[in-house]
Amino acid sequence: MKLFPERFYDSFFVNEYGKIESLRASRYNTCFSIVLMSVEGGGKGRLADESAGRQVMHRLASRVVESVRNCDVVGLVDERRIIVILPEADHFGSLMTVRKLSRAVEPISDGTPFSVILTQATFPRDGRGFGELVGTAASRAKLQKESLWERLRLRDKLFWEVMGTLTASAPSGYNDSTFEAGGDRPLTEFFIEQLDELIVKEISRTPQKRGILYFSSKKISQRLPLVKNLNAAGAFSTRVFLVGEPEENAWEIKTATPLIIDDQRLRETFFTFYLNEGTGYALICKENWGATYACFHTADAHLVEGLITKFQSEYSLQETLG
Amino acid sequence: MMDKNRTLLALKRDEEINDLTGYLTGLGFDPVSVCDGARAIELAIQEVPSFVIADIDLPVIDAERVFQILRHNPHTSNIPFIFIADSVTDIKGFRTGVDIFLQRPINLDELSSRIRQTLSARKSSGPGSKGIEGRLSQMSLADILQILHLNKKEGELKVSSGEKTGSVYIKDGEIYNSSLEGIEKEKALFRLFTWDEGKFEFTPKQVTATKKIRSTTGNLLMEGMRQIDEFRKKEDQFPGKDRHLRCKVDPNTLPKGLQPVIYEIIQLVNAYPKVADIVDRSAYPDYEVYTTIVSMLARGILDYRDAEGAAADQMAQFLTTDQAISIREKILSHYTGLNVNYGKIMLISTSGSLASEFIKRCKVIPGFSMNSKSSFQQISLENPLGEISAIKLYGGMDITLFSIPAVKNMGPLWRAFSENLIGVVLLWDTEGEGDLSELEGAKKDILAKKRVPALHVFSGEATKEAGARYRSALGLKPDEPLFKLNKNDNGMIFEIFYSLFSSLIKDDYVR
Repeated sequence: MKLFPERFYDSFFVNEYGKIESLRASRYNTCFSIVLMSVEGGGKGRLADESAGRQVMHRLASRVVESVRNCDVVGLVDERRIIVILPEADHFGSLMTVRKLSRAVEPISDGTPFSVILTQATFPRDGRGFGELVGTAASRAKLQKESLWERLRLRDKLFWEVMGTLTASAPSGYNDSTFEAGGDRPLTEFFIEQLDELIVKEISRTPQKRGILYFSSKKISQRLPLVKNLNAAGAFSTRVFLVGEPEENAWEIKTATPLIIDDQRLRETFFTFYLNEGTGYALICKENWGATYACFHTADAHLVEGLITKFQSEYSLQETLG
Repeated sequence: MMDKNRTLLALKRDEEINDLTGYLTGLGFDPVSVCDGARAIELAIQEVPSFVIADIDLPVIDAERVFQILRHNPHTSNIPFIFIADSVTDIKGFRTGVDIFLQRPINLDELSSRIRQTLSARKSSGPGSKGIEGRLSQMSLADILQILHLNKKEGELKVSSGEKTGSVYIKDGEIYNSSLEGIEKEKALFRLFTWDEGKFEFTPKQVTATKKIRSTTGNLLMEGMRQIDEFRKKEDQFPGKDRHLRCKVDPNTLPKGLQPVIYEIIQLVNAYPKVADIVDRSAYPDYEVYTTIVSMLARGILDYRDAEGAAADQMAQFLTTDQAISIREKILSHYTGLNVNYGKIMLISTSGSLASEFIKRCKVIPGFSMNSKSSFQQISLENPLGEISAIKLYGGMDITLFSIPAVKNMGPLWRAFSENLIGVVLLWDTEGEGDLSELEGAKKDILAKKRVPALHVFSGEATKEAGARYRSALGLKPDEPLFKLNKNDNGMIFEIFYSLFSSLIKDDYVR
């Protein structure tokens, strides 16, 4: 019986193909990416021995083959992992494929004991050999499992529910953490603005690097320190969006796009989401009584990407990551 | 055929006809008079006059209509009109500078001077004297050249911007030569391409200039535009126009077969050390000269000999050129990506004031500069956060100092912004002794992700026991140094950085 669809290859083939692709990319100085799909859950035994597990893998394989481009190569890595090789795809191209595949395979795992984790890696920045790339994607899958996004099942919540959950949570690790600012706290409210300035400095330090920055404020004003810093930063490749209500007087900023959103919740909670190919950082601050702020910040790129995806989707914004 | 002296008087008042006929005849004109608009049109077409004097209220066809009809006829479209009316009237299509409007009573002296004015203006813009003219803001030089090329035109294209004027000579649509302030060929043409504001004027005429530009127009335009784009992109990497250069090698020892521009630059540097002079006097386009200078600086063939060059010399005393190159190569080899131009040293301290004090003392390092682009200058000085200063290293490479507080809940900052990390400096003082565990935690977390040298710096006087305590709390190996930064001991700052750079070069650090 044929278990898998056409254009779905075995691990030997994808491994050989991946090695050739990395040689080709290094010879012609181009990039390519891989997307690794790991199936979690089910019994502790082999997935192939369970009929439900076999069925899920079979349906995933069919759906992935249907969703990718003709030039992409899909195959098995092992009994729990499927790999997609994306020729000529850069970091952001592979992130968009992850989004697309995530949507395509979500209904398959729903209602089953299985869950699917999608991660990506790009040649050459994440590794120069095919094995190294698979290793990077696998270690990202491990990190992703530990991410608050997965642990708190934030995927199933609405954007503002996620924001509320995060500001009310009390993580104190090196990856996700909370702090309070303003009032008589050791950190002043300027500290929050200094954090935004820090991001703009990072952007202007490597202006050629692509990325995305969402910055929300009660009112998008040209007097905001971030706006002043953006004006002084010169040209850069990061796409910057300023979210909030407009100021009465019209003004123009060349390096950022204003997103006019009139939402009561933006007056109480403001955020900064920054994602580029190397890093992710999010800062969410909820204003309390007496100009004090309860803040959550994270360096978890998966969580930042999730927040950006939810924000774009619920406010019908263009789906872009850089 | 136009008669230079023939003038047409279309006036309804006889006394005016008589007065003006006599006056114009006296001035050497040959006036012909008519009493209505229809006759005026007929005569103007039969024998084109040098100008028409018309009463605005002409019978049969009024003067405005006569004017419009004659303007639409290619044979008569250039005839200047002098309108005479009792009151100010709006005339559709009136050409300021060409046509004249006079209100009764007519002042004959004024009429005479206006006629002279309009005829001399017309003479200078007569047919054949100018082909095309316009503003560069409306149409770029590249577009004009393309049009002239496609139409196989011959003539001189004059371009002026401010007080500068340049020319491009075109024959059969091909660019023969270009000149601008004593400069010729591609160099002049590519400089003209950079002008966005100004006027252009193409005069069709026989071009006798020698063909000095060999490339085809298409190639010239593409190459010119490419060089301008590249120049704008890399402008900040090029040496300033006022910098002075010197040649570090004996020109006679240079191998043969190098690009001719290199030999030319070396000769020019010896005669004119200023960058602006070298670029102006070289026969090669500006972009080529600048990129060659940059590459010669990077290869050590050229060197700066001015104040900034002195700073580089100072830096050379701190780090030798070989060491600076090694650090740069270390950073470049470990961080892939476009234009890696910096390495980051993370400064993690137990208090903001301590970090601030440390940064102030780093000012003794040659090439050190504070990042002045901050909206919170004062706060940034007291509680430095993020990139606060940089040390210019070599070949456009910066070493930046990035400050972060040593508290666990700032972990996301050092995790998210540790790109291009080349070292960590952990800083504490007696007051911050209680936070050593936080410092140790931060160090472990960073080093687990990036293999970089970590330096431990205690600010103040430490007893032997305290030193042992700190070493134990921070998990220092016996051979790892513990730096004690005393007040006014600037030598220690050099030692700290020297140790960091030495570790970086020696060991398989970074990544």
